[in-house]
Amino acid sequence: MEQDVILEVKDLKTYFYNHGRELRAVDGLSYQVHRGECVAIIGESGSGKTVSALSILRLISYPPGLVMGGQVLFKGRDLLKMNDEEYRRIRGKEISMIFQEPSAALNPVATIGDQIVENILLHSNVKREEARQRAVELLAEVGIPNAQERVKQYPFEFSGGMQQRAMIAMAMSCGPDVLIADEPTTALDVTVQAQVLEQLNRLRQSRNMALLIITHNLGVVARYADSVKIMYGGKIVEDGSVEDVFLRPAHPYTLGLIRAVPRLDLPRTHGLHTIEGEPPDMSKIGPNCCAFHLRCAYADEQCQNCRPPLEQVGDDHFCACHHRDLLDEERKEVLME
Amino acid sequence: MGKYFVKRVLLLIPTILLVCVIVFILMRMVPMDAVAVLQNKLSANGNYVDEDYVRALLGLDVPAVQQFFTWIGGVLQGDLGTSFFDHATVNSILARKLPVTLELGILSLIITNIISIPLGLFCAARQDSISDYTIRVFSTVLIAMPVFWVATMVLIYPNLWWGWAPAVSYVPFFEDPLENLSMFLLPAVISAIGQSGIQMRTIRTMTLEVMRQDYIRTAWAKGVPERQVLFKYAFRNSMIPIITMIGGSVAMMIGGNVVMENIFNIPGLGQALVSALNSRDYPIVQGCVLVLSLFVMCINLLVDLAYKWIDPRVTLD
Repeated sequence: MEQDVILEVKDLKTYFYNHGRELRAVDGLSYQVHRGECVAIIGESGSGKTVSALSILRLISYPPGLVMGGQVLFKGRDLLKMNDEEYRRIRGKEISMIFQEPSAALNPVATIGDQIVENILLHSNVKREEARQRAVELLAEVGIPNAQERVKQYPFEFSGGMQQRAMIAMAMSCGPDVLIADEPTTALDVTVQAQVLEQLNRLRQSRNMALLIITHNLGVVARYADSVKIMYGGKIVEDGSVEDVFLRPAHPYTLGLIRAVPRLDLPRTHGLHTIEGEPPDMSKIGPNCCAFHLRCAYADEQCQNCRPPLEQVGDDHFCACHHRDLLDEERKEVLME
Repeated sequence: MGKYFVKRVLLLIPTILLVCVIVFILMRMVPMDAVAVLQNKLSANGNYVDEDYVRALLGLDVPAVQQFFTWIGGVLQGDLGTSFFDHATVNSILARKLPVTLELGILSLIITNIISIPLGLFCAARQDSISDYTIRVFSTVLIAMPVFWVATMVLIYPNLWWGWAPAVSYVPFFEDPLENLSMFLLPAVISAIGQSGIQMRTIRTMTLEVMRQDYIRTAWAKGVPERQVLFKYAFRNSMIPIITMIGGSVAMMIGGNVVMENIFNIPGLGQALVSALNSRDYPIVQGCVLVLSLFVMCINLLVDLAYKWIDPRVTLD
């Protein structure tokens, strides 16, 4: 399994500087992605999940953001240490990314076809005609009907779901080894979300491509992911397989997330469960505490003064909490429901 | 598209007509009318002439409405009238002066864009760097210096120090293209300086605005090289406001280069217009203003058509 690791993030730190204040958006993030694996990174807004993905692609612009430390090893080479030109050849070819808002992420003044062709021509020595033909095939492959005609259209002539498919086609055009999808379905209609995800997953399987999905939608994760990383306050608080995380959650935040999923099978009187409080203001929380302690029912003095390390709690199952033993009661309760 | 074009061209007609009416009325409302000016001139030479005689001589003895329609009738047949004083037709004056003004205008437009587009993009790409600050400070200085002052300095100091003076006698382009260009170059550069300062700042701001958009991030993620991100993505997407601005400065350069024409003794339309205004030569003023405003309107039309070409989302109707 070890040699199959294609992307490894080690102790990644991305900080933002605003009016002299330091904001630790990503603070010591580590994880591995294996070839062909589907990894989900889950967290609420502000947990640093998007920033961590952008850091991998070196898309954090300074000012205000700066990758302060850590390594991103792709096929054994540190992406953060490459020079710009070296890294440019990897972007869009071996690692590509799709974004949350397809309507904003596509260049409004170029045709869909031209945007895909551009990506192909940037990274391979094919003729324009060939690239064009390839673009049509890709669009057809991601489920865009009448691709031959639609390739000549502009993004504004596409619906949201179609735009995201076009984004996927573009990201897939050079056969990447890793595809990072940053909330790929958040901006889409519920009916289209499933289709787009299904598409992504099929492509992943047919090409043995690793898929890194960033989301706050637990349903997405449960269905497609092999491995789940729960992020809170710029760090991973729980890491494990889908079964581990959903059936044996070890962190109070994970438990809270699972409880917060609206359930249609419970009576309406049951009410919706929420996690009290707001996502933490990372510029106010010190490095030496559990980022979740302000909202955690189990928090005590230890949580305020000592950052819990990520500890193994089962095979390939890790959790960062001082009081995970106290969780048993609540876990039973949740799983009973 | 074709329909839109026809509509816009048809809309030019009432606009032009309005311009005609306004310039016609305003000229005749100026104190000291053409009759008085001519009378003064003649009496300065010791000749007394009857006012009614002068009025009839200039064709101003008929009612204003009739004068207006006579003029418009001529305009419709392509005859813009004849100067009050030297019997040259307005057509022939325009034929001589308009190319000169256009050459100066187009030349300074080209120089403006050669300076402002690369600098604006460069500053946007290197926002807040030392070179960005330096260029911006420099552009502020350029904007703050009035062109007539710069022109005067350029005429005075090199002459004082090195005995060099720019050519100030006009040579038609087809007689000696090189000589012609070298004489136009200096005034064109000077009038481009201030304009390119303003334009460079606008391009920088617009491009920075575009650089924050998501599709720029997509471009980086695709591995597009920086130069292409700047030109193919950022510049292309900030073209609409930039084209609008360039359209505006074209209008200004054609109509408003009177100062440069005077200082460098370039026999252009601006110079002709000012002297015609002073001598109350109504036909020349009317003809020049008519042609200049027609020009500006055509440029506006071109700018609007360019929107469609730049941005596929724009629908013209």
